[in-house]
Amino acid sequence: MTLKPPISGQELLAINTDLRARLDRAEETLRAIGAGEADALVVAGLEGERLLTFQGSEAYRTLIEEMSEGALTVTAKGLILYANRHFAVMLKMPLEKVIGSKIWDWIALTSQAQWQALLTASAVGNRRQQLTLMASDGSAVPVHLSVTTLKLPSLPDAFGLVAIDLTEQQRTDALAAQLRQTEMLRGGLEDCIKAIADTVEMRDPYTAGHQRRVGQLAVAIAQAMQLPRETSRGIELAAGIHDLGKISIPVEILVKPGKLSAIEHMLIQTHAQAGFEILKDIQFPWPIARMVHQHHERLDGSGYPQGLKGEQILLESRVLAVADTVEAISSHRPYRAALGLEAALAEIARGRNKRYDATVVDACLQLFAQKRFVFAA
Amino acid sequence: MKQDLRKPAETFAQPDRYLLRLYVAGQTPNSLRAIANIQVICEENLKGRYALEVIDLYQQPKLAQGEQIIALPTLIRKLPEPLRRIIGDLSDTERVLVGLDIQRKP
Repeated sequence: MTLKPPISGQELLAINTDLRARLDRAEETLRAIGAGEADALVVAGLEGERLLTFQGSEAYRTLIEEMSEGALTVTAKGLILYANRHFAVMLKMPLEKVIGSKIWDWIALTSQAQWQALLTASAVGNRRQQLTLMASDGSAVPVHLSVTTLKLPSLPDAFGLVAIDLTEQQRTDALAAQLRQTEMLRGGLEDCIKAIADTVEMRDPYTAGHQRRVGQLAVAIAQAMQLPRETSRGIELAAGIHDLGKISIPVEILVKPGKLSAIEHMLIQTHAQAGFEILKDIQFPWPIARMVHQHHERLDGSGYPQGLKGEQILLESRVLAVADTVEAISSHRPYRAALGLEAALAEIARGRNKRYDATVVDACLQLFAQKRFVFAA
Repeated sequence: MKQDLRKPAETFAQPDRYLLRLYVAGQTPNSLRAIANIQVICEENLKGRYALEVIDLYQQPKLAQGEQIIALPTLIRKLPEPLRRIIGDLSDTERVLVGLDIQRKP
């Protein structure tokens, strides 16, 4: 038999202190439970410790803990007796620093009066208010706060609060307003383009309607080519003013019957450059000025004013070129009678992959072959 | 001096400063009463020299680890040492003051 080594006096003292502390703790626990001052026990479970509540509803508690709005209970003096996690997240503060603090500490200075008014008004029915909280990092959190007077026997003067974070909603509202404004500006811009188109055509009655009809065909081609909606819109608008530069050419030349002289022909050709000069400084969401500039360029470099070739020419301008050619040949001109649609389509078929973009030509020929397009009168 | 909520509690670790931690069980009656009671006791007797953290063990169960908490609500005096604990709704102010070893303000 082995004897345990004797325990020193110091060790005995330590053991005594420890036992005394444990006894104190046990006595305090029993006293509180016996006096009805405890609500829950911490018990061991399979997945760690869990709470065993003496009373209360688990379902309601979980609902409040998990809801995606902030929920809190405050006294009339503003002491926060309870807050759920979401409210602490709104304030960017650990939950343990929120419960036990004063609601005043979290309400922006500019909203303190509103908060007071809300508490006063909640007695007579008006229980909602939009105000601003101040998060721990100083950022403002706009919230919709609703207040309910709680009539609990243990809490005679408490309020239940639900706070809905409006940050995201306000951001969405601001974006929507911005979008509305952009739409309005864009509408105004398009109206301006139409007004310019009308002005050009008023001066030159022989080509009245030409730009509009080119626009109709160009859009139909763009859609047949499955170009994005935005691109089609840009093409339509550019088509509506593609001959804008003719404003710089004397009316006598524009309306002159019979064949034009070489000089007159050269003068007519300046309209592409003139149109570009007028439009180049206007900010459009589409490259309108360049589309107008290049609508007489041809794939093989035989066009004007720059003699661009192939991919150097904007796709939009290649569409305009085909639509413009078809419309011009098929309708009446001051210097000749209408040659008809067949002649027009024959011209683009002949120029396919030479003067005109093959994809654009194919789309255009298909439109007419399948009778999916007719010029409006 | 008002308690600055944005300062970490550790800055209160000075001889006459109290760091108190109250563990509660959600909105149960004794828990709510305990928060209201300790707040008044602190404001009346420790104004400007205490930090109070209220931990809802339903929502933050991990924060009880190592604290040997058996029943709720439990108030723990973390600082000054030695650690002290009181269980209950803290409605008996005298008992709380004795338990925390706080001299009542005259």
